[in-house]
Amino acid sequence: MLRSRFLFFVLLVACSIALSALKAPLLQQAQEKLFTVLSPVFYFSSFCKKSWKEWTYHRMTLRQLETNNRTLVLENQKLKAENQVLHAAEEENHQLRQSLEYRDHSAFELLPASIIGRENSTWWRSIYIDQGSLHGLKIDMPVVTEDGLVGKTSVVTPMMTTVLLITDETCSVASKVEGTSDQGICRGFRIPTGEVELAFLSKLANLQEGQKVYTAGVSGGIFPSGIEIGRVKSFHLRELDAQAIIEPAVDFNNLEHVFVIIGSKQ
Amino acid sequence: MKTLSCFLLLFFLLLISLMLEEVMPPLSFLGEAHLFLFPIVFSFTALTLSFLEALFFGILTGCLVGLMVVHFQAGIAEISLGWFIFFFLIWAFLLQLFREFTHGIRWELHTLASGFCTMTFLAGEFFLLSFYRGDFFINGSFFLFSFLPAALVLILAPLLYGLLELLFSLFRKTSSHYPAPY
Repeated sequence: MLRSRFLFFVLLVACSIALSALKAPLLQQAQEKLFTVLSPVFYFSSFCKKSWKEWTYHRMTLRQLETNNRTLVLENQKLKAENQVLHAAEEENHQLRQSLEYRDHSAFELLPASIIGRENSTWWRSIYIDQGSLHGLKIDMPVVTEDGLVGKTSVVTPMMTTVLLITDETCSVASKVEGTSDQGICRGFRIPTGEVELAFLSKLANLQEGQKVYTAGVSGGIFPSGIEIGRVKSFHLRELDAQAIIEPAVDFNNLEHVFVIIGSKQ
Repeated sequence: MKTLSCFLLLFFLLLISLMLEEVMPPLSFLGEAHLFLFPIVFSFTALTLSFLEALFFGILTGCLVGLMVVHFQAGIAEISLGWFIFFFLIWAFLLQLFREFTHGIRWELHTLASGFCTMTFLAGEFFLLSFYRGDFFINGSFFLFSFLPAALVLILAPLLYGLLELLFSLFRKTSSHYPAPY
């Protein structure tokens, strides 16, 4: 009995090893099918989460609402003040653009999407959004927020898409540093730190803390030029190149909505 | 019929646990550690079902977890589906052996199995990824991110074991397949 069990086990193990040779496209198709089947569950859980949030909001006490209101009034005043400053800057920018005959810079067509899940994985970092191929999404489309770059689409199903975050080691972005001609490759770490590294910088580079890092927009690449990635947190020279640690502009833990760049307006 | 319904119910619970994990945010107060529930359900199943059923459940778990986890780089899967199936087959086999040694299911065995299963799963994934990506390193963070989820599972496993036991006491009354716990 024990022998037959062991033989059966060995047979199954051999089968599992044989399955390792399964072709990637077949596996990719199976994964897409699985996510298509599971997408209603993601939608449902996202709906439950939102309902719970709304419910807890409505159950706020008068004191909490008062505090909330005070914070919002203060924030409103601050935003008004900022708006004034920005308005002046916009005027100036407009005049400069006109004089230089610049074209409108924000020429992206954006598709808004809500986050319906986060991958429960330690070594990979991705999120699930509620838009898919039915809404015009394809693999390798850039995903952004008003704060900066989020990542790129990786697995696209009709109603749901997986977005690989820039904090993942496999999401490499050609980047440039504000106010310098330095360029490098931004990518996450295998062991999660919440930061990204800017590697392959010139040894002559001298980055300062707080300097902004943007996408470089190389030809044939995925990411368009000029999207903020984050700010330099630290900088150090290595044997062959220099490396900077970047604090992402986007707060990935509190992310709820994103935009997918589906094309340019022109 | 009872065996099949029990198997299907456990598979449904495995699916639920996988889905719950995906919608739960990482625990920011524990260094962004993730909470894993599927090793708890898998360990319970591998200890509860008979040998063949446990192995079959191992294959299904491997397929499901593998498909949800696997990432593709330039059209190539970073970790093959076969590894996930292999991993859960080995664990199902080991748990069946342990069950015979302890003459039935014990909550301590289930807790330890869930914790070790989580730890070896994460460590295995990390090693395979390192081999695939071509650079291998181990530091303190690696141990932290492998141990912390396992420690969380160790805390949670007895509680879920109690709930699952309560649920499966119905099946145990009528079937001799599922040995009673100590």
